[in-house]
Amino acid sequence: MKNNLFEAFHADHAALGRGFHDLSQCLRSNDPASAQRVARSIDAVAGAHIAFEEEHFYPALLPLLGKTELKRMYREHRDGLEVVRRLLQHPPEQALDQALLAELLHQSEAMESHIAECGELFAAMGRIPAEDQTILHRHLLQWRERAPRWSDFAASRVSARPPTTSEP
Amino acid sequence: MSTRAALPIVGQCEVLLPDAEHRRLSQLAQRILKHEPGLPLCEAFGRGVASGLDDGPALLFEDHSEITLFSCPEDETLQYRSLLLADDDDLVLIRTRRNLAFERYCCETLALGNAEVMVLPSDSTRPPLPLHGADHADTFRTIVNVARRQGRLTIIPYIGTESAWRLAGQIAAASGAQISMAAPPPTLTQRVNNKLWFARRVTEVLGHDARPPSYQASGPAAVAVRVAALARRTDRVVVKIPDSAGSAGNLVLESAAVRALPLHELQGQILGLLESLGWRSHFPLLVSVWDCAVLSSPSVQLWVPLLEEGLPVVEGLFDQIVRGDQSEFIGATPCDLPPPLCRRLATEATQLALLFQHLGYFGRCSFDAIISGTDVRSASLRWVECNGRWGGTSVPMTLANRLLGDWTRRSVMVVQRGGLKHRGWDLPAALDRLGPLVYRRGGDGTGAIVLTPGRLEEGCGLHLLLMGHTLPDVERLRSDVEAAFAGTASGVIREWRPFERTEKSPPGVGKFDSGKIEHNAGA
Repeated sequence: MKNNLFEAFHADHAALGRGFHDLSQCLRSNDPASAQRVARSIDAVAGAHIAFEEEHFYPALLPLLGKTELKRMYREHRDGLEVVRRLLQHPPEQALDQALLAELLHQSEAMESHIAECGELFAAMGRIPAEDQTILHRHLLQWRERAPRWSDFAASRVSARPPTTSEP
Repeated sequence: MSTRAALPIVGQCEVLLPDAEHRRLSQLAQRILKHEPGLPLCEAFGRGVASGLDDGPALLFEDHSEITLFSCPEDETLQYRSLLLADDDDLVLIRTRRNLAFERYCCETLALGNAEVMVLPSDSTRPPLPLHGADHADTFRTIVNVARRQGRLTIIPYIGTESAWRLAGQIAAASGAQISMAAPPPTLTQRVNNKLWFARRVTEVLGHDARPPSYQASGPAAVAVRVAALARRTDRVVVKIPDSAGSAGNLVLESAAVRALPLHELQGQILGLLESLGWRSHFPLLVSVWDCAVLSSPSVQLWVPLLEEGLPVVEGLFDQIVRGDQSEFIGATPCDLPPPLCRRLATEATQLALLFQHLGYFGRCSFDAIISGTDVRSASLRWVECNGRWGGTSVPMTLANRLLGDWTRRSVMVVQRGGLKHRGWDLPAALDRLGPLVYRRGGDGTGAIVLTPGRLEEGCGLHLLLMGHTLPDVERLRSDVEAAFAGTASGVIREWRPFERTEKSPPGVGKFDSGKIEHNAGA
C-alpha cells in the first residue's frame, strides 16, 4: 500500500510539475496561445492532486512543520492557480505585455519550485504509519475519481467554508 | 593538442577506458544536451569567440565576484595568481593594490617573463572584473590593440563566467581578432560548478554510491525535513549552497542537536545560520551526509582539451589539506594513497571529465573526493565537488610544471593559509629573510616560492609553493620558512608552532593541526 501511495502521489505530482515547466517555457518564448493551452490542461488535470494535498497531505504535515510554513504552502497554491486563471481570462488573440509576461513567468517558476519542494517533503515522510498511508491512498483515489478542475475545487473550497477552518 | 609554453599540460597517468564506456558517456551527454541544448553554446558572444588556447598573446585575470559567498577582501590578494600563468607580452588584469616588487620577483627570480599588469581603478559598485575591464576605456583600448596587432588573443580567466565571455565578445567585435577562451562555455561553467548538478552527473556516470547520500531541497520546509531525516542515521549533516565555491557555503550540523529540535524550529535555525553565512534565500539547497571518518580529501587535477584534440589529461592527484568544521582549503601535497586507490581516482575522474568534454567542456577542471572509513584499503570513495575553474592546487601545479618541466621531478607542497596574525613582511624583506631558502630559476629546482604576496605583507597568512628533492626536504623547508618568519616576530607572533600532521591520521593522509595554529594566532 505504501508503494501505491507513493507511486500515485508521484505520478500526479510529476504531471503537475511537467505542466508548470511547459507553462514557463511557453511564457519564456512569449507564446500566449500555447501558454493558454497548457494552462487549460493544468486546470483540468491538477485539481485532484491539489485537493489531496490541501485536504489531507498538508493537514498531516501541520504538527511537523507548523502553521507559518503550511500557510506559505497554501498561499503558493493560490499563486499558482492565479497564473492559470489570468491566462485563461486573457483574450487569446491579444499578446501579453512584457510586464504581465514577466509577472506570470515569475509566478509560474515559483510554482515549479513549490512543486519540487512538495515532492521532496512527501518523499521524506517515509515514516507515515501503514494504516495512515492506507487512508491517504484511499483519499487520493477518491479525488482522482472525482477529478475536479483546480479552479472549481478552489472555488468550492472557498464557498464551502472559510479557508481558516482547514488552513493553519 | 593546443598548448602554450606558459601553460604546459603534463599528463601523469594514462587512463584507458573501454570503447563501450566512451559510447555510453557520449550517449549520456547527448541525452543531457537534448534536455539543455544551451550548455555548449557561445555563439551569442560573436563568431570570433570560441573555447580554445593558442600560443599568441593572452589576457589573464582572476575574479571571484560572481561566485556565491566566495568574494571577500582577502581574496583580492589572490588576483596576482594570474601572473604565475602569464608570459612575455601577455596582459594581466587586476583590481587590487599594485605590487611592483612581486611583479619583479615573478619576472626576475622566477623568470616567468615580462607580462604587462593593468590595474583597474577601485569602483564602489564592484562590477565583475571583466565587465569593469570592458568599460574602462584605457584598459579596453590596450587589450584591443594587442588583439588587433596579433590578429588573435587567448583569454585565460580564473572561471569562464558569462562576464568573461562577454568581454571576449567585445574584444572580438572591436578588434576583428579571433579570441580563444581557455574556459568552457558560460552555461556549462555554471552547471559544472553547481554541487547539485554535479551530484546528478556523478550518479549517472559512476552510480549512487559514488557520492555521499544527498538530496535537493527546494524550499525551507524541505531543508528541515531532509536534514532531520539524515540526522536520524548519521553523526553530521551538511547543508550546501550549491553555487558557492570551496567551503564558503557549507553549513555543518551536529545530528544530536538536530534530533532535539522540532521541525519548525529546526527550519528557523537552519535558515538563520545560512543567512549568517551570507545566503540570500535562493533555493534549491543541497542536503547531504557529512563524512566524519575522513581519511583523505584528494583532488584530481585535469586538463580537458577540445573533444577532437584528445582525452582529458590527468595532471595530478593531490591531498587537500583542510581545516575546521567547514573543511577550508589551506594547502595541498601530492597524494600518497595506495596505488589501486589512486588508479581508481584517476579513472573515475577521467570518466566524469569525458562526459563534460562531450558536453563542450574545455580547460582546467578538478574533482574533489572524500576517502572515508576506518582503513584506507577498505575505505569508500565519494565525489563531492567539481571545480570547473582554476584553483589553489592547479595554479601552483602548473607553475611547477612550468619551472620543472614536470612537477613530479620534485616533492611539492602548497601552503595557503589565511586568518593568521603575524608581523607584516614586505616582499623584498621576506625574500631577504628567507635567503637561501628562496627558489631561484637556474638553481636545483628546490626552494620556497611566494605564490601571492598579499597575506604575507598584511601579516595575515602565507601563500607558498615549497619544492624539495624529497618529502622530508619539503617538510624541513616548511619548518625553516616558518622559523624564519616566526623567529623574528617583534611581539606580534608570540608563538607560531609549525604545521604538524595529526598523529591519528595514517601516513600520507594527515591534516595540518589547525587547532594549534588557530590558538596561537589568537594568542
